[in-house]
Amino acid sequence: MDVRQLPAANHQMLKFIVTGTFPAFMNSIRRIILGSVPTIAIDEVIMVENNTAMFDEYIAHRLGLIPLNSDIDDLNFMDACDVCDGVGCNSCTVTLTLTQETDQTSGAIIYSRELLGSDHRIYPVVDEVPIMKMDKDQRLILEAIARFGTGKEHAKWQPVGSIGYQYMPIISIRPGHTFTKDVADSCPRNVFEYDENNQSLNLRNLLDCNLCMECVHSSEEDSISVEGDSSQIIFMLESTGALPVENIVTTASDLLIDGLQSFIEGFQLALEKADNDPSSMRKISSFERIGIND
Amino acid sequence: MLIPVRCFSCGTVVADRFESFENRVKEGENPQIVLDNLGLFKYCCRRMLISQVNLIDIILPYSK
Ligand code: SF4
Ligand SMILES: [Zn+2]
Ligand SMILES: [Zn+2]
Repeated sequence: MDVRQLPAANHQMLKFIVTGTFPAFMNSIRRIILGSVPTIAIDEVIMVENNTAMFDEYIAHRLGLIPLNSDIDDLNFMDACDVCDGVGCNSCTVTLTLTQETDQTSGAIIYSRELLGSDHRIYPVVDEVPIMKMDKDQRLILEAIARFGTGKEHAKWQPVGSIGYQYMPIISIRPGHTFTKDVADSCPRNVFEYDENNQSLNLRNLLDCNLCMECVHSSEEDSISVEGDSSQIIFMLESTGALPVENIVTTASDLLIDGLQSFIEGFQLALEKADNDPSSMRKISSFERIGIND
Repeated sequence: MLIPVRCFSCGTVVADRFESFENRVKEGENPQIVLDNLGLFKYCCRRMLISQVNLIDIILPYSK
């Protein structure tokens, strides 16, 4: 398997092309990134005072969606915390506080940068998210409790915004065929370059093609063919900023390896059991599994 | 109401860019170019800013 990185629009995006793979494999990585790579997000909010125009729940919901820097490794998962047994303590949760008061003369906008964490490494990665707008003489005082979680539980813990893959486009243009400029213009991604002199098409940026087939429909039959090669996959993802985008892919790969490892161990155990006691295998495969005996 | 923190469809944080989008469009810039500059390439995220109406300003005085 060969991986080659492609240029991306900004440092939060990652784009790479994988050769010698298959869609199910890349999709398992995609799904692990979405569902199992942990990040930190605000999960519980204690409202001390709120007389702004919006309900407590509305503000709490907005707080949960603000990505927090999650690039740390010494915070426990709350469910698996051995210090507090899943109740919540300093080893598994972080507290952020927000205090804002407006005077009699003017209102204010509260931004995410005003959330102050008990741990200086955990802070909102985007400073300018407006949490709430306040009128004159209003008060918002709250304490937010953040913890590690995964996208399986709630989408706010997903480390990525958009993520996806597509097949590698294979475009063949019939040699010697004359094309009109309309064909080149029909492509929404500007893949073709039109050669006025020879009335021919040249490929300019093949990797931008999204396999929409517009060029095939707007040209003469069999003059252009577009196909996707499922053994070469272009994968792209965009981090919310909670984790560096490269770490997201490496963590997901580690999780996949761990999952396969424990699957192999369990499978081997099952085979051993079946060897020692042949009746156990039959039991598992017939009635007990689907609970007909009950 | 207030601009949603994230894009409804893809989950990218968009709220931090609304203020500069609003100001720049008010000054007469082309919204298409402003959105490109702000790094919102997908149409799901772009509609979040384009379709935003700041109703919060109307309900602001009616606090509890
Ligand atoms: S399939 Fe669509 S994107 Fe690809 S070259 Fe043809 S028109 Fe362009
Ligand atoms: Zn704990
Ligand atoms: Zn979006």
